[in-house]
Amino acid sequence: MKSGLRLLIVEDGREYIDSFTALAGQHPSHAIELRRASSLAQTRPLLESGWPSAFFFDIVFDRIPEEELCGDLDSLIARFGGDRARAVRQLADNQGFYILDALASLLPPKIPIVLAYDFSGEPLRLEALRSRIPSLTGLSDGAGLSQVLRAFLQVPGATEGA
Amino acid sequence: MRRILACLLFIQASFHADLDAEEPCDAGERELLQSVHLLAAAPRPSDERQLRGIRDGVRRLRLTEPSLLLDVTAADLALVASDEEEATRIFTELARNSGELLSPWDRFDLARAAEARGDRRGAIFQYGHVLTSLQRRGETTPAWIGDRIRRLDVEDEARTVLVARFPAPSAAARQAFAEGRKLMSLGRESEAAECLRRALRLSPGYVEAALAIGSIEARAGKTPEAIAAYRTALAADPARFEAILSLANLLWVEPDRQAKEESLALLDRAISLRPEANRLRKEASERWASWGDAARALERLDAYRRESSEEERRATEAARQRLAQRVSHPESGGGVSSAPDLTSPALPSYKLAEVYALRRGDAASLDAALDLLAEAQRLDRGFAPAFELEATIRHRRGESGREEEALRRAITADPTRATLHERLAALLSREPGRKAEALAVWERAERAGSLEALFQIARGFEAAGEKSRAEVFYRRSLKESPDGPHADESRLWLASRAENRKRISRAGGIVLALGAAAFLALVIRRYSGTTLARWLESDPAQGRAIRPIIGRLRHETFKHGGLLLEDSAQRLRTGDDAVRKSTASLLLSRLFSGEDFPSANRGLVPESLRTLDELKRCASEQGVSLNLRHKDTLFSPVYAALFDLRRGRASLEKIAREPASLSSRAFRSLERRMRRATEILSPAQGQKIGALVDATSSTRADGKALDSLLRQVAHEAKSVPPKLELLGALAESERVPIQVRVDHGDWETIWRNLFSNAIAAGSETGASFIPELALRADKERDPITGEALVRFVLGDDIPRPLTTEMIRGRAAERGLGIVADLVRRNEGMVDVGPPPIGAERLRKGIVIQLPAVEEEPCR
Repeated sequence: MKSGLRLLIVEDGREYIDSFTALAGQHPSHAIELRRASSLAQTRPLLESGWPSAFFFDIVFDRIPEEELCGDLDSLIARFGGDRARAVRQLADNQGFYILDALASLLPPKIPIVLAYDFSGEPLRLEALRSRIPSLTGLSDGAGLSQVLRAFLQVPGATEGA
Repeated sequence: MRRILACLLFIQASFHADLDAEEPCDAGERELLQSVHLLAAAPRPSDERQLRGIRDGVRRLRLTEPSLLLDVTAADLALVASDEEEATRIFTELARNSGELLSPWDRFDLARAAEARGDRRGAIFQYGHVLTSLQRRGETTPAWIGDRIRRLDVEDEARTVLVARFPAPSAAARQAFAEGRKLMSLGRESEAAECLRRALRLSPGYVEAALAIGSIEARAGKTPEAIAAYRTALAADPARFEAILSLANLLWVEPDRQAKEESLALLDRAISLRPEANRLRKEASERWASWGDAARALERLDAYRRESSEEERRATEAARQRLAQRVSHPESGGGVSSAPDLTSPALPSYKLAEVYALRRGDAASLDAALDLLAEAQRLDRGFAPAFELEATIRHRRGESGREEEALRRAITADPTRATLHERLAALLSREPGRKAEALAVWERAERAGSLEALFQIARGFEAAGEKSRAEVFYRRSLKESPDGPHADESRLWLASRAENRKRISRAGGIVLALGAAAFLALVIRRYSGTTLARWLESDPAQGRAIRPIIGRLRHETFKHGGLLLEDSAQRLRTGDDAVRKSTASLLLSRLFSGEDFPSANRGLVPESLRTLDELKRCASEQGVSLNLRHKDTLFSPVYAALFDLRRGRASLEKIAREPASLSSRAFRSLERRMRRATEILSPAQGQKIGALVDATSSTRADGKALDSLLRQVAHEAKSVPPKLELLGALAESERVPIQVRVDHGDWETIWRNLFSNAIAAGSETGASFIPELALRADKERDPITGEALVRFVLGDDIPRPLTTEMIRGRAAERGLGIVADLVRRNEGMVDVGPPPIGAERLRKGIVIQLPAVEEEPCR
């Protein structure tokens, strides 16, 4: 019986979904479904529908319209002394973190989540994030997407039958 | 003479007495007159006591029975008693009330008496009557009376001339000044300020030092200090244009009315000194308009428009119409700083000369002025203003040779005055064939502290075709005189140069076609410039500007590169034709989008090169040329990897069309390129670059060092240092290091301003009030991104309230505005809140949150 991975890729471009699509062909024994969301607004309904069995989040979302960025912009504007551009840049440059934060309470506890960020130099940072999202991992140094995909496929529960 | 006058008066009085014999005459008065008669007949008064008694009697009578006769009698008696003061006073009253009774000689005596008292205007009045009386009598008027009147007029006006002069700066002061200027040119302004203050302490009245201090303090946002410095400059040189304009601009943004009034007056004075700086008239109009005086605003706007281009007139037409509607006539006044007046034997002659030259100005007056100046120069060869005024007169007469000689002698007398060098340089600039000489004098003017010289030197280099050197001076002119008369012109030139650079780079194809020139350019590129590490070591403050760029590089180049290339290289190596084909297509899209490759993706190669260019551009804006490709060992491999990928593009395109069409040799070459690129474009390389920026542009937050800084700031402010309690991580900063992502310069400036503000606020509370401070640091993480942060809270017990707006807003006072700006630029946050934990007894806290360098986990 084929196992199924339903990977939701959250990115503002198509680099990752194109790459994962090319890699998926190397795993004929697995049924791999890939879908893409480019904002919180697109991600939440999919999460609420129960479709994804794994997530891959990009970090920087500077190619989507400003109004699609999630996060408390007013609070950031106040934090940065009224500098709106700076506040928007904070949201865009860290949007992956903000989307994760917005979804944290909805995420199933053990669902594998990979953030496209190398925490190897900041292990304490990852530890702090895991206090809210225990199943979060980052990218390790030298790891390619094929390793990421293999890791997804090996995680129990990530490839339950659809 | 006076006896004759007395007798004449007596006879006159007696005659009048006889004429009045028909009228009843008081017995007392008759007795008095008899006494006077007896007295006058005697060769000399026989009894002084008797004379005194008679005079007392006459005085009593004048009070009870005032009459002209008694006045004349009293004056006469005063003369007999040799009491010239009373005689003059009575004659002056008689002249005022019954002038027809006095003869020209009476008036003459009164004039001489007035001169003797120093009452020049009174003497002029009486001399005028002498002339009138003589003319009425048909007698000839002596010519010397007219000359005397003119001389008295000039002397009276000369009293109002202010000549401020301090001794020329000492050698030690000049040395300190030169050191300060050099440090300024290197951008080390706080050190420069110390040298300049030393120069001013050694030679009070050192104008150029005071000006330079003013500009440093103004750039540092220390407005009160800058105002004080410019006032010092003006006290030494009341007509110094740079001081007048800079002070006007600083005072204008002060909140109080008096400051604004003074600012308006100073700006008008600046315009009168530099009528060619038309932009200032427009500025003055706008300020008068906002002050509420539409009439003055309109007057200045009209003056601006008279000298403007058609386009400028059109642009201001609407404003003029609004002002014309609002015309009113408020009074306003302005304070003008007065200058001390030191002694020099040349001063009296100089003051007279200035009146003749500057307030009269006719040919005869100019001659008189030159004579007086010759005398002044003879009396004091070191009195530079005398030579300078002579130069002004020579200039008016068109005697450029003698003007130059006078200026050179003025410079010899006082080489520290930049205006003298400026005038000489301007003169030489007007002479054909002397431009090189003029440039040399401008350079001397610059060394003496002239801001005008910076601009003129820039123009000189520009005219000589030395554009790089011109650029340096245009930048300095703009930086040191951002509101000066040449600011707009400097900005335009620099913008045009930047545009030209772009044009030159676009025309690079033409340069490449010149083989020899291209090779030379290649050699220069290979060996010139500097590395990122060296640049950051010399200017750590740039770390905050380049961090976002490095962040993008790490994300786009190293992270995406690492994710993509390893897998792709393996698939190309081991996959079948279908896999290779799809992999090649993917690589083409991911690597080259934006390089004539249609795709919605962002190509790694063009994006990375753009980001690297941005890094270089950031450096070149600071005048630094980064040679990342050839000289920087961190970035050379990155460039090599990107160009390797570019060179492999053709092979990838072949594989994407038809995998089998690529030869084995080409395939192996492609493999090598991919492997090399994979090794370089990895997150590890990105981390190395990030670590470099952290190493050079971060600071250890040390509690003891902050305490020491507080003491230093208190010492500079001549205050008792406040007590500083260290709390939280700062109390253990030796054991638990805190590294913030702020370079040392910004770090010190932030705390220096906060401490300075606390000390100043404490002083305002009361002379005996010493604030208590507590500083707490806590390590935190951003709750969403997990980024490491440090939160500082500086608590105090100062009663003066503080709000967020006062720190962050447009009205950010004094150093708090600088703090807010620096914190913001370093990706931090500043706010007002409760006092720090552990110091709840205090009134309030200033909260500063800054990004921290991620710490190593405990093993």
